[in-house]
Amino acid sequence: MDPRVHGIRRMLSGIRRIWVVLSPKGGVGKTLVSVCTAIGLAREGRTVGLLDADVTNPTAHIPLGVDPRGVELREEEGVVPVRAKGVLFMSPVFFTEDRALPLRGWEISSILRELLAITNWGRLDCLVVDTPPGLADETLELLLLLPRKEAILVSTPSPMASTSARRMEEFLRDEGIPLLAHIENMSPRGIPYYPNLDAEIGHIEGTEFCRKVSEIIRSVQND
Amino acid sequence: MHEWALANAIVDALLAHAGEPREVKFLEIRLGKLQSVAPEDIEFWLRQLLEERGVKVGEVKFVQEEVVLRCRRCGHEWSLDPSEAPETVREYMHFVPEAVHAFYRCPRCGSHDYEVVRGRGVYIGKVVFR
Repeated sequence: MDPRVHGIRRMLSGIRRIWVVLSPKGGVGKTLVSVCTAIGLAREGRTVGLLDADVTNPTAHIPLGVDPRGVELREEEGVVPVRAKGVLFMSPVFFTEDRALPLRGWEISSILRELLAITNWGRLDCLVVDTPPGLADETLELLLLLPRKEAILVSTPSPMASTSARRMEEFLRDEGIPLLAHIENMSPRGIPYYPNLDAEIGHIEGTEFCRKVSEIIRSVQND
Repeated sequence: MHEWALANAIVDALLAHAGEPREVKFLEIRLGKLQSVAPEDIEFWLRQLLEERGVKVGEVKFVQEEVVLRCRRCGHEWSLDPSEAPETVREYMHFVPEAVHAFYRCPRCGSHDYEVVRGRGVYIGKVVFR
């Protein structure tokens, strides 16, 4: 018997809301939306966590300004997340020295279960979860394991991204997962295209992009 | 500590399985060596957490599982001993056993694409309630 599913319930029991940031396609800005959502909530005085669940390719630490090689994790009733830019942050990158982590099927489920079962988030107003693109193992496992989840969908105006986003919206509806927001990035209808954003990654919290994400999230969070 | 979370997960799983048992008469925990978890730490927390919830604890037996890895590319099977790994790597695998894929390759063909057949982490083997 694998006890971790039960441990996960306990470790997430102090979290009021869980927002899973999804996108059907890669490169649409999902990680930046995740990071800026978390930073925006922290700046409003909320207690917020960010989990990088893109387990084979974690990158959320980059805009958060966390050097994984300098992190020493503290143990206290589990593993305590690292604090960065006001956000409690956990990532698989803390266990790999930033090396490639090739995983398949059950191994992906297993590392997610382990991370969720050992991370001591304490009490949070919100946990933001950054996911890899698509509807494969990581996303399905998270949607299975996470309680009280709401989705934030990120896409772009590209016909490929918008077609995939429609499919994902249908999937979320069928699964009964509330869609908190569908954010169109690089679009006049959502977040505009900021050509210099890559150069500003190190201080993402000060960018117009981040302010725009926070503004959208404030308008939809319903509390 | 991290073992507290592992033990609590076991306790929650046992109680969810059995409802409200008065006693765990016998419990077998399987410890995959990849995670390098000390049985005495798990047993300490198991006894404390179960007793806090009004459940008596009888015999707790630990079975250490050797690590068996099988390469998906060439089919080679091999073992590794985490006690011989650098301390930092052992610590990573202690928290997240899947980290093994970042640091070890198949000794025959060099691939990172292998499965952990046995010896990964903490599982409940057998339990007898009263």
